[in-house]
Amino acid sequence: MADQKSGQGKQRTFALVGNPNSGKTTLFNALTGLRQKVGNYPGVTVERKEGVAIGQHGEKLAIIDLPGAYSLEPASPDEAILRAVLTGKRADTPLPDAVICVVDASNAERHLYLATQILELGLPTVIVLNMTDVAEGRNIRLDPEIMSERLGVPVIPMQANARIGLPELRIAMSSGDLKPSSHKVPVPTELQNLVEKASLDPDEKAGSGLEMEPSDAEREIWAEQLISARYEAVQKLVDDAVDRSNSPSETSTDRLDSWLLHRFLGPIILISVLGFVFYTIFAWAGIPMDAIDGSFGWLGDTVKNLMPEGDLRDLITDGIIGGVGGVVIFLPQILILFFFIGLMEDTGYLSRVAFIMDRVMAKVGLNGRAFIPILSSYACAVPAIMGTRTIENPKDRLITIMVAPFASCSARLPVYLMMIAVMMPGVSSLQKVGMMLGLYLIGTIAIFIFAWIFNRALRHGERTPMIMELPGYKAPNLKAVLLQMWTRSKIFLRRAGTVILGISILLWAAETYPKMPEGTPAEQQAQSYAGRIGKTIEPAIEPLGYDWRIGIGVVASFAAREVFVSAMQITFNVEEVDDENEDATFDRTRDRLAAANRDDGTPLFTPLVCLSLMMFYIFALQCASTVAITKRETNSWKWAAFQFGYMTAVAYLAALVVYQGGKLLGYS
Amino acid sequence: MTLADLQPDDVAIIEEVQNGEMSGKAMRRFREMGLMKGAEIKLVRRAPLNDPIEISVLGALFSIRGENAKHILVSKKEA
Repeated sequence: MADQKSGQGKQRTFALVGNPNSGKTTLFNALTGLRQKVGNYPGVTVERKEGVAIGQHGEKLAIIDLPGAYSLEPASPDEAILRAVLTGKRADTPLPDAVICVVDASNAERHLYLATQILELGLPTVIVLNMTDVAEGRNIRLDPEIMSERLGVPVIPMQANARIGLPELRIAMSSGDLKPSSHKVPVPTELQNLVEKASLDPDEKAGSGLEMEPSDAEREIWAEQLISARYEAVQKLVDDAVDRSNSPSETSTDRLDSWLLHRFLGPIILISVLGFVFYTIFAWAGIPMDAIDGSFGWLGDTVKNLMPEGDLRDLITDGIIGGVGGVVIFLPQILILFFFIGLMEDTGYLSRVAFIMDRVMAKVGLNGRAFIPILSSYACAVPAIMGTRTIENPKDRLITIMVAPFASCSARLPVYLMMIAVMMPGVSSLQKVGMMLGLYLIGTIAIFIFAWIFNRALRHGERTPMIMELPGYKAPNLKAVLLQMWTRSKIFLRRAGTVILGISILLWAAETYPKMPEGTPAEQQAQSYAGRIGKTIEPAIEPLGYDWRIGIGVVASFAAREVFVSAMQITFNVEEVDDENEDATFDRTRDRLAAANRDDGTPLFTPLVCLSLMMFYIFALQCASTVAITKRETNSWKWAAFQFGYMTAVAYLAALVVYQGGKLLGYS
Repeated sequence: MTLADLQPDDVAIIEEVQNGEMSGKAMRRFREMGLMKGAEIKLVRRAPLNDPIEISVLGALFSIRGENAKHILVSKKEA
């Protein structure tokens, strides 16, 4: 092993495995620090985490944090990956040299169920007996020496959150003589024959008179017997190693749950927690958002002053800086959402939310885990869609992704506010609030209706039972939460950033060329490619009550909804009064839009047109970031394109029905 | 009696885990989580809307739905 000590030669790879909530991620962070890389396994949307740990002799050790699993018999894509990697069946991930298997000492039986399966794979293994402090709090004492003797592999007691046991693990990892375990769960005698048969290859079977394939019912009985046999073996192991004398009957988790899951208090606490999260998003995110808006504005102005006039300058200021600013502006909201979702996940509260809300979500065929992503979507669909990773069932997850963007996110607000102001000048703020609530309600109804439709269409009658662990509460690991928040935000910036940048440059070019040097901005826009596109699609949008000028705004907002307002300001010659006073700009825009006429002299933005526009904006997927993230999270352009297509179709139909129906009823 | 018939804080022994409308493969996960014949199970509480239920088995807490719980036959242990 001299070559390893000197840090040369082949770097050894350790796979980190364990049940969900075994503290595996905490251990991964403790081992690797910030030396980690997060991505996806090619072809599936399972998170792939890799990192580098430093061994006892200063040598580098590669660590792959495999997805948490309850069993090697996969019930989800995450668990399938675990099995595939550990059996060397994934071309992108070579078979690891050794396995670190994390076992929660306070939950030893169930965690050892997986651990014994792992040991039977025959890879050199180290068992980490984590959360010994929690176990001791419950008067459960596991003897690592007895366990190690029984299993034939090192068993290291650990408190990963306090880094206790870490040096011992490093020593074990660096030692060159890690061995596979000799432990094997005995196969029940009545199954032994069958197991032997199953291992015969087809040719031998043909001659042996054993070619009969077992029926499904038989397979089930065997499976059940094997599960029982494994649990019996684990029980034997634990009985000798565990001292459960005078375990307290009530744990701190029980005490907390008696409040947080209380029939009446539970929902009240839930509403308060979520109310606080949303208050934070809307109240606090505004401050950094204004700062970002201001600094991108400043950057644009500075570049304008420094560079000679010309297309290149405009491309940089209007296309690039404006486009990137449009993505970064949502970062504060996204960071706050990721932070709170991470906090709820890390403490164990997220599962409780799912428990309380499961009944409601079940009505449309989803489960409780879909609740938080859908709720997040009312702020921004991007963290919502990325947050669906906590949903194990792939179909539940897909349905949640498909419907979440119907929630009225914060990018729709500027459009709603402007349209309400134009539609109903001088109404009381109470009426405005009523109108807004109506818009939110329509989106919410769409979520439930389409979830129900997709549930019927995608499931083909197949049903999977729900069993969800409610992990013990633990104090959040702030560093881990922040780290996760940052990695997820980087994914958003990279994915959405590149797409938005491309689209912003395209949009800029469409509005700039061909040039009309002497024209006003509005005239320039009219004869630009964007204007021509607006005129080309006019026949299609005319039934919705829009003319080609509104068409430019609608097309431009397919990159991001809030672009509609600025596009309308250009189209209708709203010069910004001064940068400091947004209210004045808003009022002026409102007045200009209200005064705008069609070619025949009738008003353009009639109440019915405003209503039709709001309908369109509720339903249409006008957000390049969402499309980019859906593509990433479904691992398919097909689903991203489908989502874009069906939502836009629903938007068109809704606007059509409102406008044409309204006209029939005599409104204008 | 079935798991769905238990009251909060009732402790019972599992007699049989039936598949009900689910496939045996789908129910395998229940067994792997420790919901097997002979295991001790406690109904901890019902969710605020009565469904799902929270159960304790092998020292861990799980949430399962009534539609599955009614296919888990149990015999109640007297306190």
